[in-house]
Amino acid sequence: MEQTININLNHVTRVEGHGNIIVNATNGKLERCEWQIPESPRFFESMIRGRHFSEIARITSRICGICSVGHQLASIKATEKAFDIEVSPQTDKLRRLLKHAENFDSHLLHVYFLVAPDLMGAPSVIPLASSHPEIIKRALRLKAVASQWSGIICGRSTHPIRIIPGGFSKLPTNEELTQLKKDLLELAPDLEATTQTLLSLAEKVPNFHRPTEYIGLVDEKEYGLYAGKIGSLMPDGTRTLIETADYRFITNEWVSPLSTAKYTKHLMESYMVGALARINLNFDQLHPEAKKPAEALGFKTPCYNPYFNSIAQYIEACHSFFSGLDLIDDLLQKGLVEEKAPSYQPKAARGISALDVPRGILFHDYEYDAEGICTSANCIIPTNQNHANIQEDMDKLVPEMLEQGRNQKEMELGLEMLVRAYDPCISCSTHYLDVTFKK
Amino acid sequence: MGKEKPKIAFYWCASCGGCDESFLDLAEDILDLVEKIDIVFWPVALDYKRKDLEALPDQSILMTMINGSLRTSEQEEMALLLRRKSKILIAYGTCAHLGGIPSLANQFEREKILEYLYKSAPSVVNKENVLPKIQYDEKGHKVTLPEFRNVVRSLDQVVDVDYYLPGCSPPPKLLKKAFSLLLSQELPSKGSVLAPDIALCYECPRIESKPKDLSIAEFKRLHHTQPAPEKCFLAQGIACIGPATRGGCEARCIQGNMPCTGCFGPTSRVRDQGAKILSALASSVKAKSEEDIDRALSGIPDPVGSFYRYGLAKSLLRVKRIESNNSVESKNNGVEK
Repeated sequence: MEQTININLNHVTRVEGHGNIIVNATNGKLERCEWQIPESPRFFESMIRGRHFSEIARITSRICGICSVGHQLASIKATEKAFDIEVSPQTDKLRRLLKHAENFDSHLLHVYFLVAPDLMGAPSVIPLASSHPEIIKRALRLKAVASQWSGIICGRSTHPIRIIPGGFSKLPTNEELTQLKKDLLELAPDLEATTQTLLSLAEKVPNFHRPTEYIGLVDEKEYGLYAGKIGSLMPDGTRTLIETADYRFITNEWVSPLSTAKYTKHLMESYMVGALARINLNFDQLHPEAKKPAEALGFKTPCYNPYFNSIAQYIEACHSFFSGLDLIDDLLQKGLVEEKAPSYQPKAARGISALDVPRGILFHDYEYDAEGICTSANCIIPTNQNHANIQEDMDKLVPEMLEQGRNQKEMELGLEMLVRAYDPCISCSTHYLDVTFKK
Repeated sequence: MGKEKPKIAFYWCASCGGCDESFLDLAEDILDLVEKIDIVFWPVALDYKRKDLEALPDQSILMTMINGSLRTSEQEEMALLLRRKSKILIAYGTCAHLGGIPSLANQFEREKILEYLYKSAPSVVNKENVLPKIQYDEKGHKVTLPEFRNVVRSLDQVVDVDYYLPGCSPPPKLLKKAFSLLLSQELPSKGSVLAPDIALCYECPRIESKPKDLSIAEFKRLHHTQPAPEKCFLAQGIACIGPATRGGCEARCIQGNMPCTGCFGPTSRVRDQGAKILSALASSVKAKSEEDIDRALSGIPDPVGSFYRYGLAKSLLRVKRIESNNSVESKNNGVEK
């Protein structure tokens, strides 16, 4: 079919931050297909130079309000690495528990409030409140407990208060952890119902495949989220592991004259980070209880459909739910105890950390002087690493849709859904992202 | 036809998304709220686009809440557009209210920031010194990018603001209260900050342990000391911005055994939050000679980052520079103050 298409979606809605999609096709011939980001940079790396190490995490937290737990943990881990601070096993477990809280919270937020409306044929979650009140009430119940979960560990879910180098400024009580366990267990039927809802909507997820390189944390002990090495999985199944300190071999940031964005590339023209990348790399290490919804939803790896990132997010939310319950049991068995903070002195050193936050792998890299003042900083955000991959997907998807004779409305929906599937956190980007172009 | 529901809009400028997420902290109350209002624009949650907003009659939105600070020409355009469409404009959250943490970048010159970002940051490979362009011709398509201003600004440094809802991010209790106040017909006086006009110390659970005469010998960093869980931070020699900060957050950082960093901004009686805390701390040190006071205050590294953490855009330190920038920008870009 010889369509003429003029798509100008300014801005794509139901994503974090600002992005535009521009597609022009005349008589079925594609002329232009661009994923543009006119997001405002906030220059965190420049801003944290000259600041004291004890304040860095509370500043970099503001890179992103949705994954502020992840940014604080990545920041603290980098600082602890620089000053050789060893945290106690209790601190380590509490942080992992906190990481699961964020993963659970952020993924459910995305799946219910931003993605579900597309699958249910609504322009937003608002009309669903009256058409499907049971689903929205369930989403709000899940969301409320998710916020409490991180709240009792770090003070609040947005811009945590209690995470400090070496540990926590205040610990949750054993009673709070016991109550949390009870509240979480009450959510189990809501999770089961979520699986059923997604199952009924699964056929609405577009059928599109484009193998790419997948990058995420790989930890020999558990599903890679909190620690490990940087893993790469290629479409031919080749796996490579790289030390965190060598993250620059993966990211290779480059600048385009057409764009204020910095892009990343590794072995291919682009790579993907996030839940789908992690699950492709680490499926076997999912919690056994999370493999059940994966099986129920017919999810198999390797999965090359980027729209399935949202399904991978839900499976990960289940993984975090059950792994979180295990960690709570573990912590309650011994009971939380007040510990003496590890003693340390700042020194002139560099610290690099990698953490897999809900939207993908995140790197924080700081250099400090002898007084503990930051002299150089670099943060590489998941969304920046995904932009080139979104463009590559569009370059394959748009001709396919033209071939299938899709009209403008259908193409707009398909493209917006693609961007949404990545759950981009554009506002989160510390680098000024912008327009990418066909080569 | 029943009575038309009031139209409400939400927008974000340079922000982290935390303010938008804070609406979800209303939990099930959000269901009652969406019954009462008609949300006409909210990019993170609804599919209305800029052209839909442009199509609305002027003054047809009862209330718009904008979060985030402002750095680019596009954000200014959106703020002006939303101002025109709205009867009430609210600066929501610390960034819109005071410039927020992003305005710490005002300490550095724009060119130096860009140079670091594109050329000297450790992970960048840019041997050809490529820099982005505001306008670029790519295969016949003209690509334009928003222009960066020299400084980060708060919302009221760009458009007229009616009310402010403080906090990074605003707590759900204040948000709920603000909604019921603004949806009623009893509007507070213009320019009000929708939080108690008292210093945080008055709602701090540790107020009892704050001595009249602090007599601080030296300031300690948090890693030097494990703060006592019940005692006033200042009484322990730990810098706390509470005395110069508006209350209303229920001392949430203090409850987490961390000192206040000032995200609610000053009370109405304080013009410059950083200057206020600096003078409060200087007069609280034990030492009385200028030299000894300086020595005691040197325990606080990075005073700008400590005292102006959230409010550098609004600080008197910046006013002169912002004013001169504005006059230049108005000429160049026709952007109204």
